[in-house]
Amino acid sequence: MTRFNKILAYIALICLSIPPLLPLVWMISTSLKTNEQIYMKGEGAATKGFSFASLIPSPVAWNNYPDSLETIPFMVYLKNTVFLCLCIVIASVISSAIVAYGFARINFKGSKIWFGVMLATMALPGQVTMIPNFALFRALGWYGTYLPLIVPAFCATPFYVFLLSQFFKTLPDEMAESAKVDGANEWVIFCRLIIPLSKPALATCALFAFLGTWNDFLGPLLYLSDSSKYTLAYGLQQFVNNPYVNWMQLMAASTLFTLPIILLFFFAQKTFIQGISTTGGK
Amino acid sequence: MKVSQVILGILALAVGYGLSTAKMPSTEDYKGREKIKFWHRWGGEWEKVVFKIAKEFNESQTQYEVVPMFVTGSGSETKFILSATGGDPCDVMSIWNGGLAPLAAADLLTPLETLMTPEELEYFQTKTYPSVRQSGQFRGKTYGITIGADLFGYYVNADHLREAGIDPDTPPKTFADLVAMGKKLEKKDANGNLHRMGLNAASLQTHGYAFGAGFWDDKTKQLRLNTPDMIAALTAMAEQRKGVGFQNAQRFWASQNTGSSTGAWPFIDGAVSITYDGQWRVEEIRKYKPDMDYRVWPIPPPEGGNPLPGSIGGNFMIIPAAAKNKKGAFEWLKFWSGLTNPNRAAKFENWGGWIPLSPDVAHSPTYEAYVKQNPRFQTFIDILDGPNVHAYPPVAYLGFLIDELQRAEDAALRGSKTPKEALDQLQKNVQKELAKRKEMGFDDSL
Amino acid sequence: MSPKARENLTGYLFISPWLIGFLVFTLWPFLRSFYLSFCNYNIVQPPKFIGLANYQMMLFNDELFYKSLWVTLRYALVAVPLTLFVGVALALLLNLNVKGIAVFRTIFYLPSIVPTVAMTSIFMWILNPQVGMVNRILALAGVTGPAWLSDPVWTPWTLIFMAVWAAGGSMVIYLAGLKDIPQYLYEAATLDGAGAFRKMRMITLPMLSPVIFFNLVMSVIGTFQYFTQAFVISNGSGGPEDSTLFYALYMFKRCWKYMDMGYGSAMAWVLFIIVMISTGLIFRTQKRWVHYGR
Repeated sequence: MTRFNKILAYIALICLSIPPLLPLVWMISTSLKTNEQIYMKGEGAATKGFSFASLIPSPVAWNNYPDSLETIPFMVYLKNTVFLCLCIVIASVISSAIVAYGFARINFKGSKIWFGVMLATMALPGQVTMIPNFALFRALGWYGTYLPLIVPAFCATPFYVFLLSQFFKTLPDEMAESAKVDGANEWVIFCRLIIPLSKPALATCALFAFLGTWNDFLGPLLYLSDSSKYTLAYGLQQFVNNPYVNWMQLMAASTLFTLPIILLFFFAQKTFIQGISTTGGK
Repeated sequence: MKVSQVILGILALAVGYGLSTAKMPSTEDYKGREKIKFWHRWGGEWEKVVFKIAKEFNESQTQYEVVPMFVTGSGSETKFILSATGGDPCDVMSIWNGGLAPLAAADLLTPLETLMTPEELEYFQTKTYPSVRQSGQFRGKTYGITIGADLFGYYVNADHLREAGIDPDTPPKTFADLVAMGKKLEKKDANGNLHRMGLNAASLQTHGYAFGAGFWDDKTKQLRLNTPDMIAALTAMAEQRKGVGFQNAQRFWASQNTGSSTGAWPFIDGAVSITYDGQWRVEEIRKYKPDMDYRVWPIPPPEGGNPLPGSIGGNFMIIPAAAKNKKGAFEWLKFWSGLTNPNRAAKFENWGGWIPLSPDVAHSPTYEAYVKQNPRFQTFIDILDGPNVHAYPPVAYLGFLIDELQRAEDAALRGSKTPKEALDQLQKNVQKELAKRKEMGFDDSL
Repeated sequence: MSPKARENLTGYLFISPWLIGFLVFTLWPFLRSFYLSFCNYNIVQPPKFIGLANYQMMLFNDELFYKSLWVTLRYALVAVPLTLFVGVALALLLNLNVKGIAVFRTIFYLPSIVPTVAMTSIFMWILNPQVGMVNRILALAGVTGPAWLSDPVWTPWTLIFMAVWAAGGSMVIYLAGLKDIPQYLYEAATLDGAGAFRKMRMITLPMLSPVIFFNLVMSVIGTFQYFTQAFVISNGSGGPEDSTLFYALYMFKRCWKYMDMGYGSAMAWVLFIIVMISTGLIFRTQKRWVHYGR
């Protein structure tokens, strides 16, 4: 690339970075402002333009943060969310890996058909199974507990199975063959050989599962009853639609809700992008 | 191990420790008491009032402890249906009475008569406001009792009126007079953008009672959705909005902090001169701008219309059919509603600025003292004591009906349909739904 | 046991977690909801068989059914191609080999990991008609911005705007696809004297087409189930004037507000059929533009 092209590329990248960042900056800026600063009153307020200077709160209203933590039991929701994320990430990654191994590396009768069925279920809208599943979990007495959210995670997630099986297929056969000669069974090969080689792919699935759970709104809405069990995504919605709440507090809570995810991605991005490239989206 | 990993590990441990000690905020710990799970719809500043009442209850008790929990507004019925059908509902919940009939029709609620002693039943049936009582009834049984009902009126900024040369102590005779007043109070900036709203009119439901018999005839048990008087009511409201400019009004309103329960409420704030709102705002003004000079007027009827119209809305306590602690729930209901000890209940009603269940509460020494200190509240008591206050129709499809009614009003006030079109469409939609329900075997008897 | 039988057994043991889950949480509910769609069912009392009444009402007598279908389709027709385009364009840009590109990748990926509920609340705030950021930027150009969230003409665009903002999510997958394109193809093209656009048209896009296809299918399926943003933004009502009454939201309202699960199940099945048909159609176009293998 020529020097000129490089400079052009940087300019393009920097300009394009503004739209994704600005809303987040606005969120943080609002979370540190006072009511007077955000609602501009008086003549001509309706036509007042945007300025970068208005992004900087003055004075800084730090108290929005403790206030918003008081308005909803943020720490309790965070604890629940972290607990749920851990359970679901572990359960779905392990079970998906096991199933993916079965599909990718064992040549059993009907494997192609079942794999096709599994891919087809990815196209099935969750709405179709929502009501019977609700009735089922109610009959089991699981309503109001985390079980309806956790137990299905033990039954593997088609998307992760798909990603992992694509990856497992790319691993060389020789080591597995020689291990078989030494008398190792498939389970041993899976645990000792395949899993250690698949860390980036597994990490990618784990990150997907984590983001999905952290974000999940419909699940808690359907199955959780007691507020002491709420997750952040659901608890925050209570906040968004609370007509008495103010925007500064809401933005403070949104910042706190988003921050861990950004940090996580920041630390995990290398593994993540590497994992995606090795599994491929095909 | 890298430094970043060590830092991460320490952070994780710290967060983990912090989280493991996180607890729900609860007022006090009453060991060994039976808990009463209470769901309500009051967030923000209002939640503090709920906590205060709960605290009084818990201190008065040796057997029960009530644990309040906020469930967000319009999602609260859904949350209730999910929990009641899921088999783990709360013990008692405060819901909007518009959502009560459908829940009762699906057998999700406990008939409260089953929990009353004969004396309580007698008292309830004879000594409470009929319209308030009926708002909690369905097919002859009582499923909800109010702990704080609502009535609406027009809040008027007296200073704005004087500034425009209008005497705030001479209320308008007719709705048209009110509209003319609003026009005088309106302020626009150089670009024509609304800068102060003169009049904000809302609620076809209640205005319908001013212009005629409203959308439901309680005597013949018939819907009257697109009758001439309903069309007249919606037309008057839509014409007023048109005078402001449909777009302009919408934009202005969307930028106001309309939900605010504090000093940022547009009326307290001076952004609107006359606005239609609930009686609890009297209490808010007392708290956040006690020196504000304002009036409260009932909806002025048109020539020959009905004075002092009102529609009972608000918070009604229900007990789910699957509740685990019904006895405790009913104790809590009685405590707050004033079914027993009206004078104590009057105190709670005043904390929230609510309309009470019975004349015994409304005319108790405590409540009367409150009205004396806050004379603007008297308008709402007049509406309550008057002949034109109505309960919602006790029909099983009420949820659908109210949603459709609001859609029709919304369409007309945005100018996207004429009032007649909107109401004809409403009539058509409701008739279709009713025909469908009939065909599918829903029980819509009254 | 023969080695083949043994292998079969092992295979089924390995896939058993999924198989059990499929039978219990997917297949059975799937068939059950088909039955319920012919019933009057409020989930409290046992279901009552009423034949085709739910379907009849839905197809011939429910204005909102068609309205919600239209709201969903309209959104899909704009948002799906737009996010696809933005995703691919970003990936092409971020595939550049310049210093610090990882930072830019993170920046563009950021919006897609902001949790939906938080993102919706942020947008409700930046799109506030008078004091929100967007209209104040427009004011700089002398334009009076619309009431994004309370004007039914604009709410669909608001949601599309949100979707495009978060379009960076698929960028990572395209990036991975771009990395898989063998370098020698480009080198050969350079020798043939092909310019940058010709390379893009002849190599990059065809080689990327399987990934684009996969993303297209998944986003069409996802769009028909669009729920959370609409639920949060309208607080479950689908307003203003039904402009955010997406199919899944209307169905949810029928189920959990009016307690009409039979009708809801019928709606779910119609949704299923629509998704099948549209996925089928996309698959049929596959031969024309998707290139597998080398």
